[in-house]
Amino acid sequence: MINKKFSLVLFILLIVPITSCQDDFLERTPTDQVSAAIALSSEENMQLVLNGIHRTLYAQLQTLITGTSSIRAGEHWWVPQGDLLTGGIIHSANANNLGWRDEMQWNNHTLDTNSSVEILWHHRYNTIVHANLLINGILSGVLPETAGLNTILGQAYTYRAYAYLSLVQHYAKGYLIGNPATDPGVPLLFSTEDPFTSEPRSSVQVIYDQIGIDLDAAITAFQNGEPRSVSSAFDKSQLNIDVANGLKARWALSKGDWQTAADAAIAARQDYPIMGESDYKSGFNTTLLPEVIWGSNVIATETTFFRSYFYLASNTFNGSQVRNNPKIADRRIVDAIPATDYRSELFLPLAPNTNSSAANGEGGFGNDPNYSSELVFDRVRDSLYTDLGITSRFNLHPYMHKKLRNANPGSIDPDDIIYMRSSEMYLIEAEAKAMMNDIGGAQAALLPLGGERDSAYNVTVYNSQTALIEHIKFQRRVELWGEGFGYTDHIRWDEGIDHAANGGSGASLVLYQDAYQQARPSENPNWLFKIPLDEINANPNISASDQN
Amino acid sequence: MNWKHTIGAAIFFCISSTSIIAQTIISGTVSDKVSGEPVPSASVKEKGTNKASVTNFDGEYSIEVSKNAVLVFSALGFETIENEISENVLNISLDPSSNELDEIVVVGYGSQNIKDLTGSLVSVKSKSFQKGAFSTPEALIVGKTPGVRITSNSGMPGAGSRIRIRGGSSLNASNDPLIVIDGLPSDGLGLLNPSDIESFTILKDAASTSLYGSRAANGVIIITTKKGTRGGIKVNATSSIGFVSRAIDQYDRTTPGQYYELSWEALKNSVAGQADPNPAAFASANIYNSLAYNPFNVPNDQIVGTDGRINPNAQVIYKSLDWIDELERAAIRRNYGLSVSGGGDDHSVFFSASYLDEESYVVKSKFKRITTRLNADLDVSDHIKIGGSANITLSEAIAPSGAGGGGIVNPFSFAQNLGSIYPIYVNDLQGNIVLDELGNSLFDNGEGFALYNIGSRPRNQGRHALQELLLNDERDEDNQYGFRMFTDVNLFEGFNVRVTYARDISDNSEREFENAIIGDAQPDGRLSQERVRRDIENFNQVITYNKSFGNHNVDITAGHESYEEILSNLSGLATKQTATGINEFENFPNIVDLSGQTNEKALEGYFLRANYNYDNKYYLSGSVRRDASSIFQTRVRKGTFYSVGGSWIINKESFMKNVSFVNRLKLRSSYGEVGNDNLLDFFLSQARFDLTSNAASPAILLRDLGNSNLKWETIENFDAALEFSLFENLIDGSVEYYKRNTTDLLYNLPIAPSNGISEVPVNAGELFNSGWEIELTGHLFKNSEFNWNITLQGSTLKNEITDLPTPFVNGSKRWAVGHSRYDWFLFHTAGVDPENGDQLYSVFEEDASGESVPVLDTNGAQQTTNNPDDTIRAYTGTSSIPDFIGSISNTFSYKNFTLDVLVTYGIGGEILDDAYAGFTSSQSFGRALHPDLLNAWRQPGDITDIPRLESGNTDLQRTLSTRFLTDASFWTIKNVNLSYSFRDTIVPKSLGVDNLVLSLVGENLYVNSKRTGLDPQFALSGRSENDDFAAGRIISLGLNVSF
Repeated sequence: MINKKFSLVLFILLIVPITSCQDDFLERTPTDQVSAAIALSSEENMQLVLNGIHRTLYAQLQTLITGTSSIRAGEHWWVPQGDLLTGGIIHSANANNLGWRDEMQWNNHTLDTNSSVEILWHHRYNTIVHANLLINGILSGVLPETAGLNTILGQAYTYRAYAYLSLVQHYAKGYLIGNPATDPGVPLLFSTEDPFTSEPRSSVQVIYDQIGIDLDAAITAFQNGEPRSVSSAFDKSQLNIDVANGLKARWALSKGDWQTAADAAIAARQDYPIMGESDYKSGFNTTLLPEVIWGSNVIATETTFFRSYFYLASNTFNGSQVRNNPKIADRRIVDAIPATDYRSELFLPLAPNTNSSAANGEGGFGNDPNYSSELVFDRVRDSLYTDLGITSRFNLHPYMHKKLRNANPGSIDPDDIIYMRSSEMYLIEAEAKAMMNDIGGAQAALLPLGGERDSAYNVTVYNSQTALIEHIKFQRRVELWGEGFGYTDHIRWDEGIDHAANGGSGASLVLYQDAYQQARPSENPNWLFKIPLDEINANPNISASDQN
Repeated sequence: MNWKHTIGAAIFFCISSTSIIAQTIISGTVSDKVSGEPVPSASVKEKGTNKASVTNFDGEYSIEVSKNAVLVFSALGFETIENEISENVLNISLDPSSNELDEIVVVGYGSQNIKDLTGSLVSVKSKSFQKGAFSTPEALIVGKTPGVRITSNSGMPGAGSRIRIRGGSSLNASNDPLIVIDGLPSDGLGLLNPSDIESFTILKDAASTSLYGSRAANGVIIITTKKGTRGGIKVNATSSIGFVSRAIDQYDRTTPGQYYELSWEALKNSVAGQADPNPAAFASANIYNSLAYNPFNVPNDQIVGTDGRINPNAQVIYKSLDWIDELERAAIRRNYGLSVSGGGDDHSVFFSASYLDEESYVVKSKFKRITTRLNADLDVSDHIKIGGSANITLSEAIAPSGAGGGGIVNPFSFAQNLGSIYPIYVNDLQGNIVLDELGNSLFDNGEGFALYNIGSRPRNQGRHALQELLLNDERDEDNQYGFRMFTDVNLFEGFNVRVTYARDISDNSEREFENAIIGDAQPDGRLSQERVRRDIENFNQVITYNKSFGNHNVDITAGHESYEEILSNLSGLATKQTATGINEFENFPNIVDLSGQTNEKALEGYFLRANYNYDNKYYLSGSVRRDASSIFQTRVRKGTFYSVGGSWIINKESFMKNVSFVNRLKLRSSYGEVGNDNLLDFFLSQARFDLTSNAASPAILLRDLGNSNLKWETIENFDAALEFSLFENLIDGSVEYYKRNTTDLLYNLPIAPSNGISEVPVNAGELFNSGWEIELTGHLFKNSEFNWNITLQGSTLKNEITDLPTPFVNGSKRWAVGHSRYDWFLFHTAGVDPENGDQLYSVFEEDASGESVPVLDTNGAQQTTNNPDDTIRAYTGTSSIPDFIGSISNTFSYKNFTLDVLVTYGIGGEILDDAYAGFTSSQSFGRALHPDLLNAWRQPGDITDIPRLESGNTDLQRTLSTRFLTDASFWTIKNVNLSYSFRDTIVPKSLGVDNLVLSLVGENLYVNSKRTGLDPQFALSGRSENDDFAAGRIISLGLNVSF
């Protein structure tokens, strides 16, 4: 029995140490994430949050935002979408990779369960939640006010304004064609807190007012902040006072506040000279171009592969979407560009139609009315391959563009995305002044741009308001082609879509179906993006009857 | 960690204790009282001690015991008897108990006689397993366990299953049961060698699970591996070879001619067709341009006439149009196993090794696994046992990682969803397959071959299911290393202390090379690798005490347990392959991703259980456990879970003496609680920012909102059952009712995306699962030559949400109070408009409370609309859960032949057939079509339930509509096993072996469902994309030799 007692004592000794090790045993923290408290605790960390917002602009969003998907990589999709929906960028053949054909056929943004409406909404509000965290964190006054902190604050305000402007322009009726005071806009949130009930749809006017307030606050903060450094493409992914002014110009233009638009546009473009011919023809693939005010710098290791802007919109990216379905421009616009304008060289009306299943039914030698000699057909084709830096696996099509070209053509390397450049600001100033019937002012705003692009440019022929407006619309369609302004331009101008009119755009009815003709925005609810069903289901302040 | 010291202490402690009690050796044989045959593997134990032995193949045993000991003899299928020793030779004959009532079963932290149980559990021992050389353990018990639903997500070799015990108790917290292997929680069933398993015990109610506390929310599966047998060395060797094919037919799809006709119709009805003055002529002229391929021997503009019919002269000349056929092959599964067990008076050892090489019926895909295990139990002294086990499994799976996913790279959806006119290889103008320079058939990548009258395929250009599968290299190497060690000390009679320590480590390495020629990585080439290590450490100390005072019997279990799980991962993705043929990162200079992290979870618990019975007639049990989890914040991390249970052996009452047809009658019931902390996120309660970068500058983003108030989800279990044996044990069985109520539901509440984040973890709401489980076994024939047993099993499941802060729509379901989480919430189709062929929808609107209510016309009938945007979804009144699900198993034996047949079935419930919905969409060209579309609306006045075909129209079809709900009833012939044993023949003797068994096994032989191609067993959610490996049908021949 002695043994047993001895054993019992030992046993007790054995149990005791185990029961006393629990305090730190149950405290566990992640190794690859940062706690919320630390994230907003210093100016340095706030800059990290800002960098996070920059990244969401061009990331495969499912990696960063819960509940999103890989197929809409932020602005990689939203930028070309603006011109795709309105027939600026035209599909030449049936290819649906990533749902890009459905988008073109107006089958995405009109469906409340589609990724396009869900992710645009979710992405913009994700920008807002981060902007709100930064703004509320800085305004709480815990951190000492420094120039650096003001720069962060300015960027946060600018982002919030940018996100709300995008939301209200997609999910609500156009300011100039509706009744902003009563038209439903989008939920307006200044914080994301328990119980997460969000808000009802504020009126379009309320959202526009808030954007104005935020942009003014941003400009003030930037004035007290540090200037943006200008040494690399990366720097232009940071927002500065010029971006705030540029957004203010867009915002004011879209609401018909012409004087504000003109003033802000002038302020925004000061440090960004219009680029010359060689830069203009260089492919729009880097934010280092002198007139770029704002853009994302996309480096190789942050590629989104095929979910990129140039996969969807360029003709040199090595993806099946591009190879089988070269994107063409509206022939009515291309044919109207004077030969003296070097922008005409970026569109190829006589490119051979090499795809035997081209949607216009003229694919393959023998069907292409532009060529009667196979030898010539082949020679032109081969020289274009060389010129564009692509292989024979790519198809060619009349009126294809070469404006957007990869820095490394024929590869899948990512390229920068340009969001704002000074040419747009000249055009905003011109449009605003034309709308105010300031003929001379509008002509003066157009001249630097037109004179640079067209060696025979004569602005004085546009000497009435009507002629000026028509000319400015034309200039925007040419100068900004492929850069995503089509959607908001059509709504501001209340213009429908008619691919059949005036000899036709070159789009195929079989391919475009309902999207071939769409009535003007003021009378056609299909222009509005549907509020995502997820929002209607989860937001107690929005019900099915609030759907667009 | 202090644990390491304790192991040392435990070992020291064991060695220091020795015995001084006088010993004597008893030996003899154990035989079957009825047949007189020796009983091998019978257990012989000295009562009140750990001393035990096991009979050998000839029923012989030998055991060293103290003088005046009482020996307990027990064996599977026999009544246990106790005998005092008087002489040194003791021969015993055991009474066969047809219903195994005296079985000892494994329960939480111990074992119990099945007749003493107050809780609900199913024990399946190796002799009742499904027969066959399975690659996963759970396949052994499919159809053997009422109330347990085992569904495989994928028929890929080696792929695991989803196990649900009595339905899911949570909304989106984990619904997986806890897996306990040899006494300690483990990382799932994983890669355990099925033939190492001695028994499964499935704990279903609170009385049996609550000792596992927080992790037992969804039931517990306890697996016991085989142990050595004392007395001589026994060797068992098995070998089998099986032929693998696809078990489930493909969905029906159109012929090329029908495909052209239907596509013509869709083009004619399109906006473009209708814009033409002559839509039929327009469609005839343009249909080739839309489809881009002409597999017939007629010109492109003469394929379909203006009557919409295929040109009568058109013959299909294309070859290789059946993609699925090209993806499949005749495959073979080989399986070899060896086990050796043995031991002496004071030790037993079990060793096994196995090798499985299983090809899938899909080209290139296969699974290989090698396992080894060593189990040893050693008696250090009369009172002390030390032992443990070590096991290693190495496996490699080669299979397309895109299977089951939404990408184009998924070969199953690619092949199945491509129209029937698109060939796998390029065909020339005569329909001959074009060869490349090397003489190989040229893959048709869909990007156009103008020379051969081939345009761009309207679907998946530049992609190829088979070529990509062949060129890519996708393999997973999953290894597991585990060990268990224990010391068991019998301090004095009835009082035991057992200390157990275990580590289970799994190393998973996933490698994916994507080729530079075609597919997602074209033209760069891409390599990704991920290495994940899961390290689970368990340590527990358990004290048990048994004592009888007259008719009062008590046993008490108390213990402490700590659990730690560390999940670390390292992954990389790099592009721009330099040299071909080298699939290492060195060869891919552009690093897109290189990341790693460590996730940790810890849990600590104390528990106590007491069982009491009076006269082995009235039983009472109770338990309590207190757990603390690292997932919750300090203030709220502890949870206490208890249970009570009782049972009454009615047939022992005097008033039952005259009821002669009742052999056994037992009533039992229990109530208790368990908890759940598993929302698949170890840091759930903490608000967190993710790390990222912008142009290589560091960046962070808010990803998880966290919730510091999160606490345990609690599941309250009620269970009551009647167990019986009737008519001289001709029939036995049980009827059982349960209700499990879950409160403080732990789930990710979807919040409005305008919050910027779309979900937040909460505890809110309640739901319950309830159901009946019935099992009946008839021992219909029982004599020395012919035996026939039949077992019928069935269960029901009802699920209802009883409290939820706000209803929300989750895919095709809507979760709201009063409804089940499985209730369909869909558009209601209302036939087809005879005027124009539109799909009609019943109109619903939201009432003030947010519920969908019908909109009535003036006659009181529900309105219909042609535009789905004018209505909303509503409950259908049906759900995805079957009304009744179960199995019928038959065992026949005649002389040396045995035949087992297992049939499984489900009655009721509905499936939303996504795959079929895909085949009925005419929205875009190039997609495969179902022959049902031949009955589509064509002209005004047509009465049909298939709407008009129209390219480009998205309103004609909603997948989330009642149109695609399909009766989920099914039955299958799951398993048939015919075997012949050479026992009692001269063959074994002439070969010098003990026995030799030949068997022929068929798995997944037949599935009957409502629609060809549909497999209703696949998913609990009732959705079926049919885009993954389908189950394999395997016919195998096996040989088992023992000596």
